[in-house]
Amino acid sequence: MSKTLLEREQEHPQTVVAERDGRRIVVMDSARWVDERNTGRDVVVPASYIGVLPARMVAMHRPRGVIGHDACIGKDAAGIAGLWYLEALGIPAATADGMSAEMGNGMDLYESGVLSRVNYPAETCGLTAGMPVKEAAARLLEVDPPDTEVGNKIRREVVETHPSGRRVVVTDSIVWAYPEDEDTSVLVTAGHTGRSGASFLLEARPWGFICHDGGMSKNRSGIAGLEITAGHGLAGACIDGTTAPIGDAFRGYREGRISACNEPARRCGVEVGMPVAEVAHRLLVRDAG
Amino acid sequence: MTEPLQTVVLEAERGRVVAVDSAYDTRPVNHGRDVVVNASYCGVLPARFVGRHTPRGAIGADCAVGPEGAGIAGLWYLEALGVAAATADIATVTLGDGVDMYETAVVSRVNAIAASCGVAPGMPVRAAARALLERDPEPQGADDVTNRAVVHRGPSGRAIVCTDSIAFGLPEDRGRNVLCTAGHTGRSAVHYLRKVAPWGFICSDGGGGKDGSGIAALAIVEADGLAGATVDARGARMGDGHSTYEDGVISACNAHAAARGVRVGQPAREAALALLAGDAQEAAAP
Repeated sequence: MSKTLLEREQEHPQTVVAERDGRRIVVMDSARWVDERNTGRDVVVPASYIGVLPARMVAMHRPRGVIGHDACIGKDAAGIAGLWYLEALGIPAATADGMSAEMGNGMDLYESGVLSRVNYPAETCGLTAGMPVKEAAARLLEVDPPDTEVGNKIRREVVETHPSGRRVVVTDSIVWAYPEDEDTSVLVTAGHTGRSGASFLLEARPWGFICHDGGMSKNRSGIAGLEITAGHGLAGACIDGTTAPIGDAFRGYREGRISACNEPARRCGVEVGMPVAEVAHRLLVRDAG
Repeated sequence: MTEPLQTVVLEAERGRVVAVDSAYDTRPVNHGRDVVVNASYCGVLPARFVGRHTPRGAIGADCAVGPEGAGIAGLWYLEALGVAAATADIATVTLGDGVDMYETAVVSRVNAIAASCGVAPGMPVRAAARALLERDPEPQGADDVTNRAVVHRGPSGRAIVCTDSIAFGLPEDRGRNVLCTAGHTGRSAVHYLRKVAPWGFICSDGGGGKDGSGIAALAIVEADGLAGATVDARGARMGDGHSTYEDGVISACNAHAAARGVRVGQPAREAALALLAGDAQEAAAP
């Protein structure tokens, strides 16, 4: 079998834009040009999309961090899918907004790109959406990501409190409910509301809940938990899967809208189409019983 | 040994297929031998819980893929950990019912490891789970996953070839084949397009990018006589040459491609045929 162009290619143009303590920020036009020179020490800034294919090529050289281009995210979010591949390997990675930087132009990405998405190791290094690529690269150069065990990413934030002591808590999954949430917290989470979700809800017994509709699914099984929990007096609603990504309760809270709710929720004024934050508030202030 | 919350639906010498209602019910006992069919979505979060036990394989639900591909993002997380994974089409899944998923659901998406075990979209989950249990994936380096395939052969011997990146072009493509690839068509693609110099090409527009940078190479390689077009990244998956060919809609093309009949808005399949048939037109020309 003959060799692909990639295998025959020898030249990997890289531009070093910063250097400190043996670590460097290295800019390049393509992720294919990451190589063994970058292993373990360099933050690489390639103007490629961060799909799984480029991620494989980058990951085998294990750079310190990666900042690429989101290619406007696209079909099946293939422009950012590599963020999750790199996350599994503990490599901090981020993408720049597709309209903030030219594709295939590494220096433009470094000089004018603005972050759109980050994976969890990058988030723990302090990278956030909206940060200039230049600043993000400097931060990855400086900050070591903490050791993160697979499965230990727990985000939890109280976003609204009530004089009674009740509160709205945003956390990515219902399995991260605490005993103190019982009869006290409105939990905004982002897993689906099928029967397995319902069993966690009945265990947690929150004051109210908002989960994801899981794209509804066969026989509307993605919201089956609404009825089950209503039978136990829990008030709850679901986030419309077309308005916010499953698994990200924070975006659900900020951007999501409601696709369904149960009778106890309806009684306190919750309606389909309402913003999630408003529904969380209505559940919070509802009368007991 | 049977774990609580796990239903063994198939048992063989190499391991078992276990159905669970939730990805959280994956257990250490599944490590390295079992295929876990779980009626959770296959996002990064559930994938962390499956991935920490690195089972032989995992099948979850795609939850309609959804914004930012969040319903299937775990496929890529698991691929990095060496776990073969697939998702089932949500319209065929009862969320939260693992046994039902095993018995009636149909595969929608696969990662590269599952693909190398022969699992493909359209396959029943039951058959896919068996394939993951019985077959070993081919060991593959980053450069090995090219997904190269001839999808059409013209009368002249020229072919339409799908492969995931223009960098996977082969010497035999030069002046001969129409390549459907799936990287963007920005300035960093120019070098590869010139070196491969295919008879025609269709790449991704990379979502456009600042200042039309995702299609910048179209005009540049026009000067080299190369005929090419791009597909809209919103409709065809980047990094998947077959998706370019099957799902793509043309978003831009250069003058040589237009002269062969390629038009914006045309399905990529038609455009690929037009690029291929440029041959006949050229032969007919004086």
